[in-house]
Amino acid sequence: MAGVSLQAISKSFGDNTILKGIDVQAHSREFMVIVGPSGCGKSTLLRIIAGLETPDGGDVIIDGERKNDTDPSKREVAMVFQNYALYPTMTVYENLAFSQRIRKRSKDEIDKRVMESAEMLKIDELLDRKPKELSGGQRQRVALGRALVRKPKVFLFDEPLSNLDAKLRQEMRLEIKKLHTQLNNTMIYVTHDQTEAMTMADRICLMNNGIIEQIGTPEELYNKPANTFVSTFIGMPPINLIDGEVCTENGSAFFMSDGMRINLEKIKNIELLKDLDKHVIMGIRPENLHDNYFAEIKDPENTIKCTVDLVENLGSVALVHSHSGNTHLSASLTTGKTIHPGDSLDLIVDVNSLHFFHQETKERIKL
Amino acid sequence: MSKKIETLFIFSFLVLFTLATLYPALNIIGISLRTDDAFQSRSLALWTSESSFRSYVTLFLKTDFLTWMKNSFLVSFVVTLTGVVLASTSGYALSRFNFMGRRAVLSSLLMTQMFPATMLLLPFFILLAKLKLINSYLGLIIIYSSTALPFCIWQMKGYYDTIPDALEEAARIDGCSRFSAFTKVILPVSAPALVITALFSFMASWSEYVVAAIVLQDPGLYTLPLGLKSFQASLSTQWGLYAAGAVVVSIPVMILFISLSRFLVSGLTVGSVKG
Amino acid sequence: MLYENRKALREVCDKYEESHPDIKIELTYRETEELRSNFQSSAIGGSGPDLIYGPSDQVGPFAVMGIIQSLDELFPSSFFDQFLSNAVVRFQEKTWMVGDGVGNHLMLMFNKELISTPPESTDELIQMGKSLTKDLNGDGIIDQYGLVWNFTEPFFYVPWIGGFGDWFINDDGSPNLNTKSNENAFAFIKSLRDEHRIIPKECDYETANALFKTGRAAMIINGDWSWGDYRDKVDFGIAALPMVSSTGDFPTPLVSTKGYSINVHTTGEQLSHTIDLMTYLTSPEVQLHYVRRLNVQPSSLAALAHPNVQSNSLLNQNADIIKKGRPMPVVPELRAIWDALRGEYQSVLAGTKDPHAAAVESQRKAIDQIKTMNVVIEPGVQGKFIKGLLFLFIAALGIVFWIKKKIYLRSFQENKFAYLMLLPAFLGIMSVIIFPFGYNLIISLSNFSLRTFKHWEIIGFHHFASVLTDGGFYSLFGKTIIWTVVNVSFHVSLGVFLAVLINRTLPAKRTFRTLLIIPWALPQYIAALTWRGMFNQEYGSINLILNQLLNMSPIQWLSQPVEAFSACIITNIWLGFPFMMVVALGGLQSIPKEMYEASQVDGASRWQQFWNITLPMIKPVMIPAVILGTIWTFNNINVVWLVSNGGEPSDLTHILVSYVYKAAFNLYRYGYAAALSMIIFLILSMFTVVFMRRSKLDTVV
Repeated sequence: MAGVSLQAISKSFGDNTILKGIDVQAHSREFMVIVGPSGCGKSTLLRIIAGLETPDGGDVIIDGERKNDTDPSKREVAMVFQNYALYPTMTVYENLAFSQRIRKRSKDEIDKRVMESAEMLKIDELLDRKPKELSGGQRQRVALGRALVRKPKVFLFDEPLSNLDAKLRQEMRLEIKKLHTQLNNTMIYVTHDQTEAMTMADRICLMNNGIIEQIGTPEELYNKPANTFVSTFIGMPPINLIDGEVCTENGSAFFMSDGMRINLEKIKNIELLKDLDKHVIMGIRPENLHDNYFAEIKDPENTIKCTVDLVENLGSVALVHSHSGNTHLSASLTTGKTIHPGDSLDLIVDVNSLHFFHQETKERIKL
Repeated sequence: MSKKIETLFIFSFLVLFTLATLYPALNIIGISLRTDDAFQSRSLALWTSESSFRSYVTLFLKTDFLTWMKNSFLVSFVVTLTGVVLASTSGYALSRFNFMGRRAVLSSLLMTQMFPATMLLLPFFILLAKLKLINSYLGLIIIYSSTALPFCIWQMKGYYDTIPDALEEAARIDGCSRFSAFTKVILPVSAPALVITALFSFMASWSEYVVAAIVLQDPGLYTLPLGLKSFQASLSTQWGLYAAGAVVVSIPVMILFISLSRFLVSGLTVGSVKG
Repeated sequence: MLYENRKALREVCDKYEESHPDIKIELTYRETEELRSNFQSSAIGGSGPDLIYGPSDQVGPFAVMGIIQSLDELFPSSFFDQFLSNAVVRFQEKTWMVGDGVGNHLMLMFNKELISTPPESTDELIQMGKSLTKDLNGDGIIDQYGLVWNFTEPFFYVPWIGGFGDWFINDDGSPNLNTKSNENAFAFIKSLRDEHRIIPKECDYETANALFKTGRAAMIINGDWSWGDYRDKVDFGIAALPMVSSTGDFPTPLVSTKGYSINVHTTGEQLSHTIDLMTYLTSPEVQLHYVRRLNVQPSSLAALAHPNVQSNSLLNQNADIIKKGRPMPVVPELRAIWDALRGEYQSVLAGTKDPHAAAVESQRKAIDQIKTMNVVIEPGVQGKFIKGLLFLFIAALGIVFWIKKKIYLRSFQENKFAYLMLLPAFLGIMSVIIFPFGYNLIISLSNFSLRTFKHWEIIGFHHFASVLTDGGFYSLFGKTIIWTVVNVSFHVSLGVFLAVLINRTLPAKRTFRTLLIIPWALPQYIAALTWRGMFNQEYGSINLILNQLLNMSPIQWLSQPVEAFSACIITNIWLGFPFMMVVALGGLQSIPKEMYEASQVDGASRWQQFWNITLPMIKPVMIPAVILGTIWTFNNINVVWLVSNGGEPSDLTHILVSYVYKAAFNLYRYGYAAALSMIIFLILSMFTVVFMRRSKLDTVV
């Protein structure tokens, strides 16, 4: 099995620079998700790997070989397209068999491979149908099957689930992940959906505006976001980012913002923070805010008095939007009591899960 | 209720309109069944007591009509084939590639339609004479395939524009070269447009007279319109024969149109704009 | 050439081939008009048939263009002495053609069942005509005419000018139309139709022929070529055209010969074969064969002396008629005179001009046209300047290409596939459209015309200037705009209307769709000729239907300017609406049903739905179709030419393209015609650009 390595890839269309020197490596057998907002260049990057676009600069290395000038047909990669791109004039069987016929494999072998993939994806009932007679989910499976038949070194997925409804999407997510464990080969998966990225990826490559913001495991991105962009992009509901100052009073450090004062003494390397310029951005995820009412250990020093603006009940948790002074805070709280807009609410901040970022560079302050 | 009445009303209107539309076509058939001299008659009836199929019998047995027909089929077949091949390839290049000169090519295709065709005849002839292609089908075929081409290319390009790029990308990743992705995946999908292109190429050659008249001189090479025209001498026309010939000439085109009218609606994409 | 004549010619050729096994004669047949234009084109291209057979009046133009050879050097002078002098066609002191028969002249033919002795004077003619023009079944419509003939054509008219005293052309080839005789002849023909009513209101050659052959006309004025056609159908007699009672003179039909000329490109061995063949084809032996087969008046003295000819009463009678005629002029100017005369004569018949004004005007026009036809504009400073400019332009193109060659090369390499896919079509279009276009551009700047046929030079923008300063251009342009706008708006509205109707849930909607496409499928020239027949004033189905359904009196569709133009428009509307209908149907299918449902919920009426949903939604498909349709209609020569028979009446039904055709092929003004085409091209380009901009569709390209 083969890894994919991209080195200093750049690409522009006219005056529009899409990729500004991308370095990323998908290890052999890894499930790598490239995620980012639309227009960040992730699809172009995938197409460069496939050979559908030629990079202006940099190298595409697949399985240790430079493939910049290799035609897509010779790259031994398979790709699943967003709109499936099934061949409308062919039956499902022919769609699956197409790549094998091009390679002039024997009839028996084609048959074997097609049946194998079809069974794996449970589409063996549909083999005689034309794509237009299939539902969205079935088309998605056929598109997957077409890639599967190839037994390629590398699988590429270009937002394959974005045309499906929420339920099917979740189902297929699992399916694809399962496929990865079964086949155990390299998969590169492009999506704009952070949930897909978090749930599926071995490693995530988060892109924005033609550059890579961070590469790492889902945990790394979640727990140690490299900058504010990563912190907001990863995690649902999104993180609260609060502008404020770090002040020292009586030898201990505090984070001060409008309507908020948090004692930071419990943080391990707090000294580092003290040395910096006082202006920072503090990030706290909604799930790291707790309702004082239920708290076993009260922490009055780090409790914020808020007024509730809006409550979104999600069943097991409720997403509470509130404010303290001019600072808006959303918290994900276990539902034990009913909260109404206008209620006052005491939120305890889990000090050890706070993130700090430079006000200017938006980079993470490593503590 | 009112909906039913409305449908009935529209239906009867369409029946009347269609009949009126068909009348001239039926009129030719009527003439072809009369004798040469009876074409100036005050009767509106298509079939009269004098009517007979005599003209048709004469047409097939006593004239070279079958030879002309064979010639026309040969020319039209080659022209159609060439037209389809050229229009499908160049339309594809124009639809899929953003190369230098693409816009210029597209505009000049449209512009070719703007020049009065009659003035192209003299230069055609000079060119063919220089290439020694006078009195040969090759010359005729080159002209025919090319004259219908601008429209056919536009038409094919318009259709390709409606096919998502991902289709041939998928094919290429599946192992096709650029060209085989085109032939194996895009062409089958473009069948409706290809049919239309074929139809137009066929029509451009099947009933063309003016060019054939300057290129072909040997009567053995005559195509149908040339043969038909020879029934029509300057001061005496064999009307019955002419009309019978006209009917027979029209039949293949009619059959094509009628059997392909389904594709006409879906495949005619002069107007499609890439969105 | 009649079918029978062609057969006879083939027979004698077969005989020749038998005795000359190494020689194969290929016969190719063209109608007179096409013979002329095709032979001109092929002569420029340096090819064409070796031997050309045709009427003597083509000698003038061909000789002036230098595309036939003088026969004086090819044959001994004794050869020419074997023929009647009017069969040896001379022009500008040289011999160009030898005829294999004489005649081609008009005479009066009468149905012996209806008339025992032909009228000898016009008074008798009118009298007999009146008694023979009858409504046999009493339905108020005339069923039998006293006299019929193709009276709107100058050839069939000029004998009468002679009958009234003067001749229409002077010996030097200048027109002589502003004469009392011409006026009187105009008035005479008009009186036959309107006052005495012995001839039909509209009568072209075909109608006259058919009426006479079926016994529905007692007399016909026609030429000797028609004998073969009538022989088995009517028992007919021939006579000279009756004497004009007021002058005591006989009308003077044009007598011409049909004969052979030799292509200027025929040389060497081919030439000696050709000479041999020509000698054979004009020999007494062949001519006697024609006498037997076709009753052609021979031109060979030996044949004339042959007992078979001497004893042929028809030919003897014919010889007397020929004596009353005058030889057909061969000067190229004849064409311009015909043209001027035809227009004015048709105006008289249409009642838009009185005979005097028409006579004056036809003379002026003829002089004018001869002048423009013969004028040779010498290349002056402007010509040199333009030549230099053209050269510079080509050089500049070359330099630009050289400088940018790296960019071009790179672009080529990047898109090799695209360029290769484009190449074959590009070559085809290049040779068939772009090369001719460039050629025309050059011609439009040149003095290419009748007199500079082989040695034309670039002169500059003269033709453009003369097109743009000519008031005629603007009226033609106006007519073309009316033609285009009326046609396209009918095509579109009818097309969309029908598409909307058909697109409903309707029984048999596919049948309607299929049947309504038929006008599009019918070959255009067949359709146009059929419609012309249907517009015939007396026998055309349109007037018959209008009469039977609406009790309308017959409309003179083809001889009145407005009506004739309307006839062309009606025909073209019929031809063109199916295309728009199909395009509109395609557009309608892409409109989602929900849009109508939503608007229904909003309470929109049918009409509002049509304006606010249907129209805007099909607009993107319709606009390119409208642009194409406009261009096609603007440039559609077929319908106008065939329905109006080349601009009749009086060249008032021309649109720009048909006028281009006329200028180029009828009047030999290639340079002028090419300039006019360039202007048409520019007009259409501007239209397209403006239209696309205004409909915000330049993204189409």
